[in-house]
Parts: sequence; structure tokens; C-alpha cells
Amino acid sequence: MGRLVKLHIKDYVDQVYSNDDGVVIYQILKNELENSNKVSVSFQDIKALNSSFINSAFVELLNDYDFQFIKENLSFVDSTKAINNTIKSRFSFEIDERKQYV
Amino acid sequence: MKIDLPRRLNRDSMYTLLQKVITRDRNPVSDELVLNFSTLSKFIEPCGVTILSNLIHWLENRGVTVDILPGEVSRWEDSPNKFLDDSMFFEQHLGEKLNEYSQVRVTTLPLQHVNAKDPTGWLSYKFTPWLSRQLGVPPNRLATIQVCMEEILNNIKDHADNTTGCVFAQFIPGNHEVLISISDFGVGIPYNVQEKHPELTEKEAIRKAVERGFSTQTQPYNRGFGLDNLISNVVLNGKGSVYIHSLNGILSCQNGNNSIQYKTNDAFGHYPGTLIELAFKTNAEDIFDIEEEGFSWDD
Repeated sequence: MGRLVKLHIKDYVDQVYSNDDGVVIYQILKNELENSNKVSVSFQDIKALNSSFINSAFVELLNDYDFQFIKENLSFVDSTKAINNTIKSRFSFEIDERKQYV
Repeated sequence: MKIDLPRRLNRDSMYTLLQKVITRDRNPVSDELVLNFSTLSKFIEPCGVTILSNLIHWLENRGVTVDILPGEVSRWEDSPNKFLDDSMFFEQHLGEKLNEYSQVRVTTLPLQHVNAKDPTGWLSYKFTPWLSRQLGVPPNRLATIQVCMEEILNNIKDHADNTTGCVFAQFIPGNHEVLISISDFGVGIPYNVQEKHPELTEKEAIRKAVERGFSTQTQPYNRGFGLDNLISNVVLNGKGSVYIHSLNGILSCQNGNNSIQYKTNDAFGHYPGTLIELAFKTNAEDIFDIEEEGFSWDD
């Protein structure tokens, strides 16, 4: 039985700028999900995120898991409207794109 | 070879200068150039500072010896050479100011060369504090504007063959507007797009590059969202505009009826690399919105 892990982004990366920063978070998330844990990601002290970071940290998970699994096991807290809009917009676009190739 | 600068310098008139300096096959016209600034007598728009600096770096990078023949620095603030001197342009390119009393204007973020591989320190300790002072808003409310800068710098890092971005910013209180211009002298946006779509013209290639979801996949994690995110934030949330000049193409993105109006044009010359000028209104509310919000996948 898995547990709920809270992941503070700023505990793992000094900046949220590049794909490389996002990959650090992606690898932690993937590891926790593989161990059957649910993850709650905290954006404390972060007010907005660029697309490169969101792509490599979160959207990349769609290559490993289906969207339903991600929705059930990944959540976000201490977030802002700007961050939420970007994450949802990125996932929504990616899901639609992938449907075209199914 | 002596090159007279145009009397007025902005995004449109720069092509007059570029045609004199760059041949049709996109090489410098001479190994030695003297840029005559005394003919720049009427006005210079803020992006002109970035354009001139980028052009000089492009020429020097190709082995051209560039001499600068400065114009007169009058005491009038709207004199182009005075504006350039106050912007530290001559200090950067000649090693000293033309007039010892010239100083950076409060409303100006002077010309900076930013390493796009690691711009976080510059953004956090220079750019955002400057903007925060200008607008009188706390730095955390500028997070979306900082993200816009990150999108441009990530684009330079991932796609240009030179990872330095030349940045200049100007607050214009009377217009409630901030203008930011960023340029690199890399390969240019159309170059990478045409590798994938050789049928596109250069202006069409720039339009393609800003299409949501289009990526040249220069880097494995790229998904073609950065420029779209930039334009959406600036044009819709900031009630502003974005202009992209790259090689022989021009794309303008403006707000019309709360949607983005894209317009492409062929340029009358060749811009070496990419110039992005963005403007946003300081009284637009959405671009400063950092309202906390609970996350739900199903909203």
C-alpha cells in the first residue's frame, strides 16, 4: 500500500528555469509513482512557471502513465491561478494531440 | 567603409541600415566599417539600442573591425546620442561614456548581455527588482513577466547557436507601458523551422514557430509551447504586443477584440539573428495576477 508523499519543488531545485531543472523533479516523481506512492507537489514560494519546466517535470509523465493514472496519483498544492492554468493547458493540449495518433 | 546611420532608428528603419551593412548573401559588406552616429539626429526607439548592439556583435563575430564615430551628445534628453549614452551603449562599445555626466535614466534598464544558459540570477537580482521599483509592485507579482523573459531566453538557449541575449528595457510612465527588447545573433528562427519545413518562406516560418505545439525538436524535451505562452501572456494578459524580426521575416502579434491578431511581413533587409520586442500595459491586471488557487484536474 502506497503513501502520500509531499514534494516541495524548492527542496530539490534552486531554480525552475530549464528542462534540466524539470527533469530533476520528473525523476523524483517517477520514482515515487513507481513505488505506488501518490505525490502532492508544493509550489510554495513559486508564483508562475515556464513551459520548459512544466513539460519536462510533469507532461513528460504521459510517456510513462496514462492521464487517468496521473490525475489519481499526482496533485498540486500552494499553487496560483497562473501555474494551474499553464499545467492544465499543457496537459489538455498534449492529450488532444495524442488522441489524434491513436 | 563609412556607414551613416538613419536619422530615425526603430524596428522599421533599421532595415535601411542593415542593407548598407549586410550583403544579399548575408555577409558583412566590408572587413572594416565605421558607423557614423552623427547622422542619427532625430530619434531612436528603445529597441534601437538592442538592434545596434546586436549588429556590432554580429559584425565583430565575423571578424569585422567596427569603429564608432559618435554624434554630439546634447543636453536634450530626446537626442538619440544622449539616449544611447545614458543607456550605457557607448560605454559598452567604446569603453567610456561620451559625456561624463551621462547616467542611466531611472526608467531605463540599460543594455545587458545575458547568458541564456543561466539567467536566473540576472532575472532575480536585476530585471525583476528594476521592474518592481518602476511599477511600485512587489517582485512576486511580476512572476508572469519573469516567465515571459524565461520563455525567450530558453528559446535562445535551445535554438540559437549563440546563447547570449542582448536585453534593453524602458518604462514609459506616460503611456503606462513597458517596452522590452531582446536580441540574439544566432541562426534565426526561420533557419531551424525551414530545416523541417523547407517549403515555408521566412515570414511563414516565424508564424509556424509560434504555433502552439510546433517544435523543431532541437532539444528532446521541447514541445513548442514557449513562444505561444509568451505571446498569450503579453498580448492577452498584458494588453500588449509582440514583434519578432528574424532574418527576412517579421511577425507582429497584437490584441484585437481580446484575441491575438497575427500579421506577417517580408522585411526589406536581413536581420542577423532574432529581435523580439514586447510591450505590455502596466494597468493591465491579469499579467500581475498571482492569486492563490487550489488545484483540481477537473475544473
